[in-house]
Amino acid sequence: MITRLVIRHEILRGLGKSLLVTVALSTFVANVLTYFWFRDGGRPEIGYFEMMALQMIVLGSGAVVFFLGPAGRRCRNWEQGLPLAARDLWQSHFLALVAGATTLVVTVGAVLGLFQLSLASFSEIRLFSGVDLLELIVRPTAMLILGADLVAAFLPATAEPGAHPAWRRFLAAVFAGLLVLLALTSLLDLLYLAPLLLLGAGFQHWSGRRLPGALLAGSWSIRSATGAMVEGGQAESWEQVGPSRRPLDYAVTRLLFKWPATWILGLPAIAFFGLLHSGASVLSESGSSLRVAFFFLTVYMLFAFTGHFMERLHRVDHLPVSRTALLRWLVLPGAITLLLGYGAGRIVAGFQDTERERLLFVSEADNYGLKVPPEFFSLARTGEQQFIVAPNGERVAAEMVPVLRGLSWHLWKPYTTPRGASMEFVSWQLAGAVEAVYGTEIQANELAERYLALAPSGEVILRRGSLSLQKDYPHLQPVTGGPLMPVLVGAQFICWMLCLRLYFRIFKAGITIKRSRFVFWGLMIGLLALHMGTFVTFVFNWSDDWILNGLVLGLVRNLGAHGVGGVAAVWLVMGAVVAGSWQLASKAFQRAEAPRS
Amino acid sequence: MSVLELRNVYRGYGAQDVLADVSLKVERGEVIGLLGRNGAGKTTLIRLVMGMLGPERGQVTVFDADPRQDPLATKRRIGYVAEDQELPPFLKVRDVVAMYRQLYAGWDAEFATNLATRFELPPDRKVKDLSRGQARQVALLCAVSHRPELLVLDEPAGGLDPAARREFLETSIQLLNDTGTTILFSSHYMGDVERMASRLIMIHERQKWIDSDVDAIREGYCLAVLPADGSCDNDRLLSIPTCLCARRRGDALHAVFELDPAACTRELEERGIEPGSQCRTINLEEMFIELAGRES
Repeated sequence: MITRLVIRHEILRGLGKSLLVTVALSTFVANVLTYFWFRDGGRPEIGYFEMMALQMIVLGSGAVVFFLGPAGRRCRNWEQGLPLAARDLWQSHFLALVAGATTLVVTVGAVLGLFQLSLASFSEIRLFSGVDLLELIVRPTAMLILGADLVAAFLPATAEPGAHPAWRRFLAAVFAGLLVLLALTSLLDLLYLAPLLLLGAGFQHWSGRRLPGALLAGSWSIRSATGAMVEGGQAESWEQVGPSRRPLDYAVTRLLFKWPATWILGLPAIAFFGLLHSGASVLSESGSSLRVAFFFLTVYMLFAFTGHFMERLHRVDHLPVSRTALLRWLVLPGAITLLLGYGAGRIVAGFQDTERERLLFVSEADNYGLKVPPEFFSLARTGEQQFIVAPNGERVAAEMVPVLRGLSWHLWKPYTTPRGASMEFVSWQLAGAVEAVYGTEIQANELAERYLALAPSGEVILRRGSLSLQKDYPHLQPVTGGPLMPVLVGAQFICWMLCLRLYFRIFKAGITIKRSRFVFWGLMIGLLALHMGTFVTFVFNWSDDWILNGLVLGLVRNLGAHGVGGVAAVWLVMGAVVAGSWQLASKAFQRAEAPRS
Repeated sequence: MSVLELRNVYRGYGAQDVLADVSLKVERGEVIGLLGRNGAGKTTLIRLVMGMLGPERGQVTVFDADPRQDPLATKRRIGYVAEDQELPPFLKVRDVVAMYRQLYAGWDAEFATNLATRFELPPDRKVKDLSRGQARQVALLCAVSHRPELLVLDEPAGGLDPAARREFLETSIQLLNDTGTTILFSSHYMGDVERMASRLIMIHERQKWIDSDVDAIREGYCLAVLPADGSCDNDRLLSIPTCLCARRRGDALHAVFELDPAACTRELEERGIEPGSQCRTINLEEMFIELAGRES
C-alpha cells in the first residue's frame, strides 16, 4: 500500500517543474567543471572548496522538492477520508520526499555523466573522476534524506504542516543546517555518512511512534482564527481604509509568480549571471573570458522566471489592470535583478582591474610575444592572412584564429610580435598596444629602454620579470571597453521578449493547453541547446571562450569608438530595439487569453 | 443603449466547441439568470462579456464597445464575482479593500464601510483565515462598492450554505437593482434564479435554449407525461413545433411544451395523443432537469 501511495504521491507527479530548475543547474555545473578543466590545464581533480560549492548546488537542486513541491502537505483531504493508517500516509509522504529529492540529484548526476561520456567519446577531456561524481551525488543525497527526516518530524501528527506560520522558517533553518553539515562532513570519508544516516533512521522511527491513529487537519489555524475573531473596533477601523497601491503591487506579484520559490531560486541565479556578464572574476582569475559564454543560459533563466505565469493569469485577469502593467510586473523583477548583478559585478571588476596588468609579455619556450586583451584583436571577415608593416619596413604575418572552425571570419592580432622580430618592431608594437589599451602615448624608445632587452640568441625578451606599466606609469587608466552593457544585456532582453511573444501568441481560441506547453518547453529546450552548443564549440576546439569574448567585446568597442554617433548612438539604437521588442511582447500579451483554470 | 450584446457568437477550446451561434441582448436594469449544466458554457459566456476571452466568430459588445479593445475601461464599469475567483489569501481584508479602492475611481467609501460593518467583516484578518461565506462577502463588497453599471456573478454562491447563499444574493440584488444596475448571474440553484432573476437564459448543448421572462416560463410552459406504451414516441412528440424536448423517463414519456397546460392538452388531443396524458405547470427546477437531463 505504501508503495502505491508513494508512486501516486503528488510530490512525484509534480516533479516536472523541479526538473526544469535541476536541468539548468546541472548544465551550469557541467559548464563550470569544463571551465575548471581548461583553467587548470586538464587536471581532472576538483579542489575541496570547488567540490563543496558544487555539492551545495546539487543539494540545492534536490532541495527544490521541499520548497517548490507540495512538501508541506502530508495528504489531501480525500486521502484523509480513506481507511488508511496515519502512519502509512506519513511514511509515504516521507518516502516521496526522499524519492523526489533523490530523483533530482540523480538527474544532476545523469546530466553530468552524459556530458562526461559525450566528451570522452570525442576528446580526451576528463572533467571529473568516478569518485568525484560519487561524492557529488552521495553526500547531497544523504543530506536530503536527513532533511526529509527533519521535515517529517515537524508537527508529525498533522496533515498539512505547510499551513503552519513557522513552516517556511523551519525549512530555511533545516537547509541552512544541512549546508553547514555538508561542509563539515566533506572533510570526512564517505563511509562516515553511514552513522549519520542511521541516526536519521532512528529519529524517523521515533517520530513515527508519536503518531496518532489519524492525521489532524491544522488545529493551530483554528486557534489563530478564534484569536482573530475577538478583535474589536471593526467599525472604526474600516473608516480608515484608504486607497493604497502597496497591496496591489504585493498581491499581483505574489499571484503571478509561484511564491516564494520562483524568487528564491530564480532571482539569485539571474543576479549571478549578471555578475558573470559584468566581467568580475567570479569563477576564474580573469572573469572577463566568461562575459558572453553564458548569454543563452541567462535568457533561459529569464524566460523560465516569467514563462510559467500564464497559467496563473486568471487570478488577476478580471481586475482593471492593464496588460502592459502586468507585463511590467512580470518582467521588471528579472530585468532589474540582472542589471543589479551586472552593476555589482562592474564595481567588483573595477577593484579587480586596478590590480591587473592589461598587457603581458611572455617569452617561454612554447609561448612568446605580447599579450593583449582579446577585445583588441581585429576581425578579418574573409579570413585572408593579415600582415603588419612597421615604420622601419619590417613586415610580419599577424596571428590569426578562426572565430568558428569552418567559418571565414578570423580574429587577428594587430600587436603580433613573433619570435625573431627586431627590438624596434617589438617596441613599436608595445607602444601601439599601450596607446590602444590605455589611450596614452608612450614613446617606443622609452618602453624599449625600460622593459625590453635582447637575449644572446637575438630574441627580444623582458628586461625584468614582467611588464609593470600600471605601477611605473600610475596615470595610465585602461580605456573603457565600449558600451557592452546595453549591447549584451539589451540583446538578452530582446531574446527574452521574443520568446515571450512566441509564447503569448499561443494563448488564443482553438489552441490546446498541450500545445501551449509544447511551445513553452520547446523554447526552453531551444535556449538550453543554444547554451550547450556554445560550450560544445569550446570543448571541441571549434572556438574558444576568449575568441567569442574578443569578437563581441571588440565589435562593441569599435562600435562605440568608431561607429556613427559613438557610444551615445549605441545606447540609443539598443534602447530603441529593446523598446521595440517590449512592444512586440506587449502587443502579443494584450491579445493572449488566460488558459482555463 | 443595451448593456451587453452577443451576436452569433461561437467559441470553443481547442477542438471542443462550447458556444455555437449564441445571440442575446441585455438592457439596463435587467437581472438575468444564466442556467445550464456543468460545462454548458455559462462561464465561457461570462468571460466573453468580461473580455477575458474573445469570440472565434460573432461579436460581443459591452456598453456598445468591444470589451477586448479597451478591456480596462470595460472592467472599470463592471463588478465581478466568480466561484473560482481568488482573493489574495495572504492579504488582510483591509488591504484587499484598499487594493480595490485603488483600482476603481468611483469607489464609494461610505457604502463599502456600511457593507463591511453589516457583514461584520474582520478588517485585520487575512483572507485565508476567513470562512468561505466571509470570503464571498469580501468579494461582493469589492465588486459592488464602485457602483458598477453591470454586476457579473459567476456561480458566486457556490459552496455556501442556504442561509449564506440567500443573504449573499439578496444583498447583491437589493444593493444594485434599485440603482438600475444590470445583473448577470449564473447559478445551479433554480430557487435562487426563480427568486432573483427577471429573465432567464438557459444554455444547453452549446446553444441558447430558453431566453424568457421568469414569469412567462411559469405561465407559458408545461410538462406533459404520457404512458410509454408504444402508442407514441419521442420523435412524434418532437415533431410538434411547441415541443422543446421529449424523453423517456422510466415507464413514461416526458415532454416539455411551450404552452400552458390547457393549450397543451388541446394540442395533444388534436394530434390524437391524448389517451392517458397529463399536462401540468412546471417549475424551473423540473424544467431544467427535463431539458438538460438524460433519458433514464
